[in-house]
Amino acid sequence: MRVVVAGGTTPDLEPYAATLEQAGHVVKVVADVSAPSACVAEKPHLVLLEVTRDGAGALEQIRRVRDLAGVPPFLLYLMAGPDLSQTFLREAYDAGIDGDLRQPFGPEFLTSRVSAATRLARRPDPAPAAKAAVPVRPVNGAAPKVAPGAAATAAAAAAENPMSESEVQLTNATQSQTWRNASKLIQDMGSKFLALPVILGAEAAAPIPSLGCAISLSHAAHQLEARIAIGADSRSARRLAVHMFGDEGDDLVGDMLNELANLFMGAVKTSFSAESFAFTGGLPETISADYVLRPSATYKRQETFSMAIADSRLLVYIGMRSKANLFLASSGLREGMVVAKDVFNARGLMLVNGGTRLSLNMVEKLRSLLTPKHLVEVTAP
Amino acid sequence: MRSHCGESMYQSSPQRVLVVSPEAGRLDAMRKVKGLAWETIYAADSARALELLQCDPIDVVLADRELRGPTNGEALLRMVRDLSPDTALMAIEARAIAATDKKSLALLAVDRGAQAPVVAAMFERAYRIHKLLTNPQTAKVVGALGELPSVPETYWELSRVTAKPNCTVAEVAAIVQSDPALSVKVLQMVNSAFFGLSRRVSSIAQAVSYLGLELLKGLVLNAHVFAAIDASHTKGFSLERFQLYSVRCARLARKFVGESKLGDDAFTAAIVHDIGELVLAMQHPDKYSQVVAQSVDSGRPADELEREIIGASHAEAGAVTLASCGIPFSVVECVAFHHHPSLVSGGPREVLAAVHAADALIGILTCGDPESRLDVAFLESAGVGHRVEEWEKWAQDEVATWES
Repeated sequence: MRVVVAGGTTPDLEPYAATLEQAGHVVKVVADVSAPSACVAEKPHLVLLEVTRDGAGALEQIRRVRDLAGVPPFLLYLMAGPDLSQTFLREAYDAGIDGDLRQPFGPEFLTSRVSAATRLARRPDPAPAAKAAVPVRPVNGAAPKVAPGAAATAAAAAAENPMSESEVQLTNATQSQTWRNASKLIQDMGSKFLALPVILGAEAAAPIPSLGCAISLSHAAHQLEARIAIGADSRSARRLAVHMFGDEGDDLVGDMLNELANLFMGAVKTSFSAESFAFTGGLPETISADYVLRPSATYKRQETFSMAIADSRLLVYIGMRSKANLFLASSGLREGMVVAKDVFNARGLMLVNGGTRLSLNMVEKLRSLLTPKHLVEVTAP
Repeated sequence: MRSHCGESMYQSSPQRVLVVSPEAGRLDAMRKVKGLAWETIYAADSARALELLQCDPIDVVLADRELRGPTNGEALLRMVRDLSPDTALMAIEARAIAATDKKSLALLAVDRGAQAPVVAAMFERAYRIHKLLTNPQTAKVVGALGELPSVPETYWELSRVTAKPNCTVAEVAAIVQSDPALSVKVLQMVNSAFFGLSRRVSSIAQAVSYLGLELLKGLVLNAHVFAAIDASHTKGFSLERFQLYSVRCARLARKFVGESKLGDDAFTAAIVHDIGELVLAMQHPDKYSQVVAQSVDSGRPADELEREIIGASHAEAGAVTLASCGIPFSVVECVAFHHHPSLVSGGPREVLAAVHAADALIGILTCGDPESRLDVAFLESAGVGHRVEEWEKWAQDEVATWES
């Protein structure tokens, strides 16, 4: 297995490298700032990134590695310092890590953890996991986008974490050129359609919106949903409606937002298609302006930015999430969650039917009748 | 342990037992055992035994295999079975091998050298299990499943070969290979995620070495029973989880007993100990769902509710099912009493203790069963009370392994 070990002080990483080399892996030790270039050069199966301190810089480091374009999928594990907070670890997972090794750990643990990844990557018949990790095929049947050699590693990621089949696809989609350049695509489309210069800015550059519209792109096979939402204050909305339709009636303001959302979605969808991601577009819907800024927490890799169009401002939100069911430990179950499949105890006796919405009593029962680590499949929120 | 409804049926002792043996001293030894609840009568040969049988009902007949005359021991047992189906049959053997002797009609074999108190305890055990197996209510609950086909020849072959001290992997592999369906099952099992092997095993010999002989035997038995009742679509049941639970209990029960013939027996008994749940779920799906739902809601033991709602517990249904396809007494007894082992009094009970403890401890650790499920008083009386703490630790380790 090819492993890149990256961290702040490379001499400190040498013992890890020696341990892994002894176990038969090919290891490259680099400084954390050089991790992205090392990944491009080495095409590793696994990246071990050492992070000892919390902070936005560390998260940015993770994102730079995770969002690399043009490299086969790989597993990214964090070698987490003992002082890292749970909050930071959660954010690190959101930023794209696939696992963590909490320091201090011994050489045996390191070898076992990496061997587990190797075993998964080399599993001869990874049918169920690999099914989800098969690279997206274009509609016209051309070659897959992701190199076939990478499939095993993607399968490894999926197999190690059985709940992440759709997450693997989410990673693939959010590593695409389209998703990385979505704001630019939207800017270009806006400028072209409105025949006005459009300038991108930070979220704070737009006034608080009072109107909202959202549109979704969905990928049924990979259970993904991308969402584009637009918000506008009433003054900007009226000006743009006048610009587009020559009038500023209430209906026309709504139509203007719908039209723009549809156009932006079209631009993103077309670009995805060119990259062999076959998304299906939805219909625009009017939403509460608040909801533009507070979408469901399940969206990942989201971005909110402002668009300055002449003297109007729009707020644009883009996000993508997996719509696949979630696997939660019984201790993580909450009232109101819907069980996706029948829940059985260790003896194989059914405790709850699939499709049941859990009451508080049921949650307590399940917690008492299942071990805390027993995974229960619940429907996506 | 509190008493459960239906238990009383199996708590009674025989009233009359008949010993048929040319060794008259055997009766004298038996009469010296104090506190016996039954009358022991004696016959020196088959003819006298049949006369006695026709006078008054006899609950247990113990016949010596070495009886002389036109009617030998096995023939006598056959005649007793036909004349008096309610009588439990036992045999005196030169070496008690009934566990692997599929041809014997005897429920239980007594070693020729066994001491009288041990024989007395075995009378009681044979009587109770016979009562359970011939209980019409249980037979009705089990229904058509009580007529399962006999255990496959492969099982007996494996038992015979593995009982030899110099048994080789090649011999065992040859037996497995002679049964194509079993070969497939063995390869499926060894390559399943449960074993987590990094490479695919494609040779039966390799699979045999990896699985071990006792697991292999259990697998044959398990595959046979499961195949016969095809429970893949049984309502309210996950066959996969059920099988995994059984294998895990079996592994633990075997560890409790250690590396010995008894360990193999414990493994085999534990792998099928809950098979009655499947029988009930398949034969009475609606009532069984009711049992599970009420057990989840009220926290009452499932076997208590099974008796109330269905008419027999899974332990009883399992024992009857297994006995009907010729599974040895030791296994049937473990299955019948794995929740209430105290009903088995006297004699060697290591295997029952191991199966009971493995099931109870895993149930407590993973299914929210109450701690009273573990019958510590029985474990004390079976001479393994001092090991409970160690067994609890092993069970915790086992659960931790499977969760990780």
